[in-house]
Amino acid sequence: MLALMIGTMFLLLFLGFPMMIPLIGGALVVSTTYFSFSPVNLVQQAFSGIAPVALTAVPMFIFAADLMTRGEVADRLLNFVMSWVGHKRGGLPVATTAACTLFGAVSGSTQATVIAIGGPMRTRMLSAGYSDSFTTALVINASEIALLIPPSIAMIVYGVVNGVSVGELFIAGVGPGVLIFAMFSAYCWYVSHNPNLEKASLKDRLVATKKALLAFSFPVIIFGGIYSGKFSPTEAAAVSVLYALILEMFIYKSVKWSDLPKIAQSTGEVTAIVFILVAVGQSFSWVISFAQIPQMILPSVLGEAPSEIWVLCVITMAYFLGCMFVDPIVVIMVMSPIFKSAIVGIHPIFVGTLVTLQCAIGSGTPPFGCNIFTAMAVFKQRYVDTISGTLPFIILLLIATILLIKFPIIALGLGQLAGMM
Amino acid sequence: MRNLIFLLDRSLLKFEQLSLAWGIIAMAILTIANVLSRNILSQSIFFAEEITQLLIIIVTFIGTSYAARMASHIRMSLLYDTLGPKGKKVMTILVSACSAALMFYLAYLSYGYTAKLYMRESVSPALRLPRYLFSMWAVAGFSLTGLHYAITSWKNIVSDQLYLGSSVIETTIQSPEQEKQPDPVTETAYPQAQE
Repeated sequence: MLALMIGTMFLLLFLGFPMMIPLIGGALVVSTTYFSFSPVNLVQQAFSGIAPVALTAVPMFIFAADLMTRGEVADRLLNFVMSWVGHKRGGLPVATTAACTLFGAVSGSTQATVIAIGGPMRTRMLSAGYSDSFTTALVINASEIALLIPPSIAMIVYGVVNGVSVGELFIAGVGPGVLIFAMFSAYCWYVSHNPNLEKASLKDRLVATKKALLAFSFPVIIFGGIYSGKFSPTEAAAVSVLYALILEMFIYKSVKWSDLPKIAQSTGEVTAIVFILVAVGQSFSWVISFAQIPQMILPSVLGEAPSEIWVLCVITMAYFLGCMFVDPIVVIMVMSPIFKSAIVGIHPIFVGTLVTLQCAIGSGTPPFGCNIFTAMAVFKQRYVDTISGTLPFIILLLIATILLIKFPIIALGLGQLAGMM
Repeated sequence: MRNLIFLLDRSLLKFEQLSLAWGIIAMAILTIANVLSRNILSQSIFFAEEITQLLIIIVTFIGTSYAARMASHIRMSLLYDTLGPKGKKVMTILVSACSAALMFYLAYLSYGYTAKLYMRESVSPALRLPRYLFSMWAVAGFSLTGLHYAITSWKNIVSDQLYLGSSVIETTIQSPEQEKQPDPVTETAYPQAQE
């Protein structure tokens, strides 16, 4: 049964079917071959997959990100960071990393970050003499920080699927996000030269800071609202949209009323692509649980009475390898029911953060990390050129994973400080 | 006949685009209104959750159809990328035809589920809306998605061009002479990417 399911899925994946097909195909083949329940149950499960109201946060954060990508928030954040660190050694790449982190704190989408920050920063870095491979790799990997810094689409899906608090996951993502930002910045400083850029005057810096001030309110609303218990993640997402609309339409005047349907349509398309995977992924998860597949796999993978560290290592490897090939949402939907019983006794927020980190790393890791394809499309680059400089960053991200497993406090510290966990 | 098909296709495209755009805008208005109401009036909008669920269902299933039309569903293109123009065409015909068959089967299953809800007279808790009003969007969405895949397959059989979706032509398809000197820009014009 296991061989039939895995075989069907891999065959359909390899042949290039849209990813919803291998998921529903695998579920259908197993359910019709080995079980007598009606396949209508699979449709019912698909509905229950997209029923949780917490998932509304996903389209709302994507909508806010789309509004800001179209508007001026990204530019203002960039100018702010550039005015303060752009002239220093490693200033440009550090500014890129910082801008990705800041934009991640307002958008939650790695692809939106590649487009909004990667586009303008890449031009500046190339003209300052940085190599194409280093620049592209930095943009791809620094954008992954957006998946860890709240809001995060992967965290919302993981939280809903596994019944874990999305708000607590958001808070736990900050520590690893900042750690990776620091590691990337140190690496950028080490490999960089002085950029020969003129140091911005204090007046210019203050002007850039003033212009970016309103954009800084996003993390305050999202992080502060959830941290203080004032908002649920869904409410924070709704407030983000409202704030993005006010900022871009009435204050910056960069988005017009007539632009809204087009932006919303783009949000709707991305939402559908994610949610159909969540829907059919739920059907797949249900069949996996019904067929007791975790009970077949786990003993051989984990052994008898596995230690906590071994369980975490196996989960890390499984998610990392999975995300190298397919979209993180698919991996979360497939792996969650398999590891459900294995993670009993381990802090669920910590596991969720570790999983999100692997999703982030996988998004930028060859052969099929989705940021790679976004960068290829935005920068009009060949696949080989896009991935040629990614190895040092992947090594840094794997070191961050080891540090996180060794010191869970990196993820849990902030929440414990607030008495949330 | 050709004009009629063209008109139907344009109308369907407009329907898909409007469903997505206004589905998201309505969802945003409702969730924002609910937050404001809860925080200012200390009262939640009692039907907000149900209508949001309905909008998510509409956006998901009609959006799935639109994404099939625009060839924007996520897929792994490892084998596809290694193929030549003819191989890509054959592969697209096969993949689209099989996807269409599966989508029509899912539409049939969704119809079964909708009929079950209709017979049971199942209603939503807050607005007492019949549940089949929710599930019928899956019937529509899967049917339209199947239709787009079937059209993609058919267009690839009758046309010389390579259709990735029913409305998207692969511009990277090159003659053997061009293939010897690939152009990095056009080669990546339509990456098989990703949300």
